[in-house]
Amino acid sequence: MLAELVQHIVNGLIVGGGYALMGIGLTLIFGIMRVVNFAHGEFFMMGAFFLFTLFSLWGVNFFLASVLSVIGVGLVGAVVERVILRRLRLQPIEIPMLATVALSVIIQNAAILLWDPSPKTIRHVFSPLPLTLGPIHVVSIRIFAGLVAVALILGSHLLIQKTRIGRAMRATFQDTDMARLTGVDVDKVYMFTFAFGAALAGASGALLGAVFWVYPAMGDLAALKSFAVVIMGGLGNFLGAIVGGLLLGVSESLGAGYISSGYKDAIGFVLIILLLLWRPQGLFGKKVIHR
Amino acid sequence: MRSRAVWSAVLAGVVLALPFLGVDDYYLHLLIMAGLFFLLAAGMNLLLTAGQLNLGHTAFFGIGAYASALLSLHFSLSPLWTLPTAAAFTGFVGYLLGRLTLKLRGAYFVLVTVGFAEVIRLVATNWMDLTQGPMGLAGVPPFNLGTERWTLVSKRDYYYLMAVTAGGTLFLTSRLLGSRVGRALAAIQSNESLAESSGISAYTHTMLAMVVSCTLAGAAGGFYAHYITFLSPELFGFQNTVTMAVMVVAGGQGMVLGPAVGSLVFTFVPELLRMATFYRMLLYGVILLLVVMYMPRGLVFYLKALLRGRAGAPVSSEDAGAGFAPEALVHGDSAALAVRGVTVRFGGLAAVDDLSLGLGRGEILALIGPNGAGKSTAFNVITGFQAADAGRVEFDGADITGLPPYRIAERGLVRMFQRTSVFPEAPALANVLTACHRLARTRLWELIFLTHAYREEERRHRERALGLLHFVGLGRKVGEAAKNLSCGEQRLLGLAIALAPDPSVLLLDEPAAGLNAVETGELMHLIETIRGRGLSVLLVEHDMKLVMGLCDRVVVLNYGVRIAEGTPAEIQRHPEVVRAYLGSGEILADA
Amino acid sequence: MKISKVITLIVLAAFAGVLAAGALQAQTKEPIKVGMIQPLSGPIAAAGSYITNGAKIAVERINAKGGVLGRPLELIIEDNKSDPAETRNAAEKLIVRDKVPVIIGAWGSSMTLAMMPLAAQHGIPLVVETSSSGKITDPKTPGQKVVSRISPTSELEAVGAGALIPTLGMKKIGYLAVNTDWGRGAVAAFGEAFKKNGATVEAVEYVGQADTDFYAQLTKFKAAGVDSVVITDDAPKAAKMLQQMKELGLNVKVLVTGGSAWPDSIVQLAGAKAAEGAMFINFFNPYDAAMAGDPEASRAYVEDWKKKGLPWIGVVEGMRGFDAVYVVAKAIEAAKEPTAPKIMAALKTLEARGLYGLNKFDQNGQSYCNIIVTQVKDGKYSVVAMTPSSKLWEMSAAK
Repeated sequence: MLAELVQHIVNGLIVGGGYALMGIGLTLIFGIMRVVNFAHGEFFMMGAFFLFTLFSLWGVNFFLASVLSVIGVGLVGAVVERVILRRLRLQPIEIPMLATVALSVIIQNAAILLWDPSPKTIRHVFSPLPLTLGPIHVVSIRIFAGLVAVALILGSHLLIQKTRIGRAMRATFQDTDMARLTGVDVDKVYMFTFAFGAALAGASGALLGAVFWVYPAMGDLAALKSFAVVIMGGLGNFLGAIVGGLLLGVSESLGAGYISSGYKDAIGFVLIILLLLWRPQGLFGKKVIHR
Repeated sequence: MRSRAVWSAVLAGVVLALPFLGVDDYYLHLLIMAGLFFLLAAGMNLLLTAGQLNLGHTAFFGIGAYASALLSLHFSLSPLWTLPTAAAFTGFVGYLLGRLTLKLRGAYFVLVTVGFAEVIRLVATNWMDLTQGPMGLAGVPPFNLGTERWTLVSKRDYYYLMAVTAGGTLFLTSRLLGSRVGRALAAIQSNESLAESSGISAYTHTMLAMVVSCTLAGAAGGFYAHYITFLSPELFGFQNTVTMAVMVVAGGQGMVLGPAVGSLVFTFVPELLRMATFYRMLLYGVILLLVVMYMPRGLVFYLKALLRGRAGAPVSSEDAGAGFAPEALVHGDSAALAVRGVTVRFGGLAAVDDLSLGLGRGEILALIGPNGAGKSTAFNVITGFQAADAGRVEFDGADITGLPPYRIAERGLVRMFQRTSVFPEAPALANVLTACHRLARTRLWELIFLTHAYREEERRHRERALGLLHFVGLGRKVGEAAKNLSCGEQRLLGLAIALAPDPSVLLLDEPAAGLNAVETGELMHLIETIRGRGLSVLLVEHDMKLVMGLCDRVVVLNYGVRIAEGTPAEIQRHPEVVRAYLGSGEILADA
Repeated sequence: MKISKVITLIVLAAFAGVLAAGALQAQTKEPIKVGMIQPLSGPIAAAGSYITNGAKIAVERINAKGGVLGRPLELIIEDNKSDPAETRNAAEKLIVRDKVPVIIGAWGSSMTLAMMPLAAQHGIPLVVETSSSGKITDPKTPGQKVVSRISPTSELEAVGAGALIPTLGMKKIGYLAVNTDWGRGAVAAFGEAFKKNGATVEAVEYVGQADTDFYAQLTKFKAAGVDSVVITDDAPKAAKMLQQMKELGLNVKVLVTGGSAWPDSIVQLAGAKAAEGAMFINFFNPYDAAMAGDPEASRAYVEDWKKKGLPWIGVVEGMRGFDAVYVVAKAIEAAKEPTAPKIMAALKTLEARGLYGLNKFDQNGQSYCNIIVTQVKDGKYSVVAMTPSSKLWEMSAAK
């Protein structure tokens, strides 16, 4: 009984780490740029496909391929921001949102054309046999994914808190105009934020793609989940995204394990609706006075 | 007006004649599907006018479809009854969701609606007993007009049914958007605080838009169910919502014809792109991206501009005759305002500490003090934008503490804001006309059916708006977009907006900020005239020339506490006041 | 702004261009048109592409031999985007615009069900190649009268595999099924078969079509102490489930139903270690042409598939499209006229040997095919047992 519970929780934490990465990227993009990025799932997918292409098709070393994939997705994000989102900055919020929707359609279908729609497995370097901790089984690739997720989350935190660009990001988050006035290059901050958010999504995709598998539509569900995470944690809240991601992973696992796996995907959204009824600003969001 | 009626008649004629002009069943089917999407897009557009993007709209489509199908299957009722019932039910579900979520704004609302649709989709997929789940609901009875004998069979029958439904929807939405409801919705998106201050309840109007929108979606769903006769949970997929959103935005949000054009274009484009089967979706995404990037106002907007040869909405600078006395538009009931012991704390700090003041009938009272003294906070409490931790506000003897801003405005207490005092995108006339909202007496149904009483009311309000613009001196700028006016002109417009709801007490928040000496003088003259007509005025100001020259009494705040009260002359000499201002750079003008 | 005017004009010109292209294409020529609706985009696009490729191989073979009634066959393929509403749109277009006399499709049961009433309204025969829901050949379902289905229902699968269940040693079963008409129908049908043969289904868990993580469900199975797992899902998901079973230490017998997953695809997707011992219910054996109803066609099909370099794992799916085209071609030959009513009549009395087995249709339009139980043995394809379609026809005649 307890073993089952712990196994469910462990399962949930690892997947939750992936959700958290997605959520951090999305919440940063919204918090700093005020853009709801509907193409986030496609960055996730790109990370997986880049890894697949580099490692499985071209034989590049697994770890190098992972790093390159993440950087690659970040570059794509930078280009998207520069070419598309920048000119839409002054429009009402639904315009850039719909631009990202269009982008997600384009990217997903381009992926179908470039690689075919059949799912692909990434035959990673880790052993498929599980490590056992008593009755708890965890397979190495998932441990790897979990550790990398933790490392990236910590790294993001350090980047935002300790580096110059991080300071610039925080300034822009608090008050864009003031940041501009104090000499922050807001254009650069925006581009970096979007690229960074995309890269985190790509990392999540590469990790989860290696654990599960890779196919063009894989970003759809991931995107919905990351929205749930971000709402739970509060739009723009870094810590909230982490907590939300882990919470979602674990509650999905427990829900599927003990209640019903058919409604598993609904758990996240039901939680959100309940949460928002109680605290409209999310778990950690700031309360804004609305009348 | 005449040409619009002619065009409508021509269009209606073409629509009705299409099946006889050799248009085959396939195109009729596409037109029917376009009509369905039009109902959906029109509803979405209505809500978007108020600034709320509902990306879960397809859930209501599906709810309406399943409701009508299940009712007609299980109770053997004719779709003629189940369709409207399902539509009403869907509207009710929309009401419930609205209650839960309309207090959220912007991105939160969008994401919650997305989540809602997902939950409904999963319920529909898993609640096998009700919906048959993924197996789908087959054998839904086709539409009939009451009995089986009158079953609609041919494509043409359904086409006409859709034409009637779409026509009705177009009528309803054009009536709503073209009336004060539409103005109110646009105002809410444009400047919600100002809308509330003018007596427009944001919640009521967005809820109205939500319910209408969901009812339309439910009707569309019911139509779909009895036309296609097969339902499955894919109806709840996000893909549908994306399509609707594209239609609304690419068609032209906030415009009546936007969803119509959008639904036609984006039903036919994917069909035409069937030729390029493997590239179709990719092409679709590219087209969408281009439209969003280069035509964000939507096709209808740019087509209208093309036809008129200018970009932007037409601007007619009416110089309405000054054949009526604008002063007659302004008359006060001489109400009094009393603030008793109001305290507001932010954390441990008291922004306003046990403040009491009284505004007498026909009085001009100024509230002054150094920056951060709590003047704006006091204003916010009086007008309902901030809750007080202690104390009361009384207006004309009645306790208005804690009432929402629009209710306070309804009673005749209106505020003019400091910086954001206009609706930037709309022309000046529309700005003031919107603010006449509180004066409307006609009901919703009169608005929809364009009764004589309603048209009279609109005419009166329009004249009132014109008159007020003349009164403040903007007679030449009635057609100019508010954002294009100069700072001083915008201030005058803000004053006209504040006067529109026929207030008895006016609260002015730093009306002279940013004005030069001449403009300030004009403003002082206007305020004096207003007071002469019976209104009481409470203002916050830093411009001492205006304060000393205009006000009957002055109340001085410092650190949230009232430190002095009296005539301007008394205040100038008050030692506490002088001390409070020393070093802050304020100069007390000579009276 | 000027640029937006330019863009507007470009967009309008593009429409005009596409319209014109469409007009040019719509000129009718000699060939006999056959409509085909498959999911070519969306989550199941892979399956759709396999079936379409199989169909194309059949068309090429037929046309190389002179076509049907002296005319070449032309496949008009429409993408239903894995969606029932789109399927109906596609069917509308094929029937009204392209005027096809017969349609093959539409992969998923709910997709097929969506177009059946429309097809019945126009009197267009439907040849169903993959869908497995019993509803499709149920007389109470609207549109059933125009259906001729060559793929088996889950009930048929269960009957065909039923006798083998005791020999497999499955007593306490955990069932993982995809949450669609297919999965649910299979659970019902196989549940019956298991009960009859003395096994109990301890737990049934449904998974979403896009799910990738089955730890929760498998952990539940483990806790319930099952000795076997039955899976109704496509090959990639089944492979993932097998892998995750190994990862969680759930080393039990596995049976995968449905015909799409087979030893070679699972070995490739999950790796030989995870796949070892897993059993599958298939309808086609690409290694032994003799098992098929038409060995020569089976050989030729597999050769062509290899020659075209198509993914080997899809060869057991592609045969569905291949067989469907052949059934249509033979019906048209028998009808002597490529019109819908004649083809419909011809299908009712058709007897055609194909890759599925003996393709003919009972009073509900259902055919009975070969049921083959295969297994991964020593990392390779092997056959456990087979119930030939002729036997199933006998059994149904006896009833």
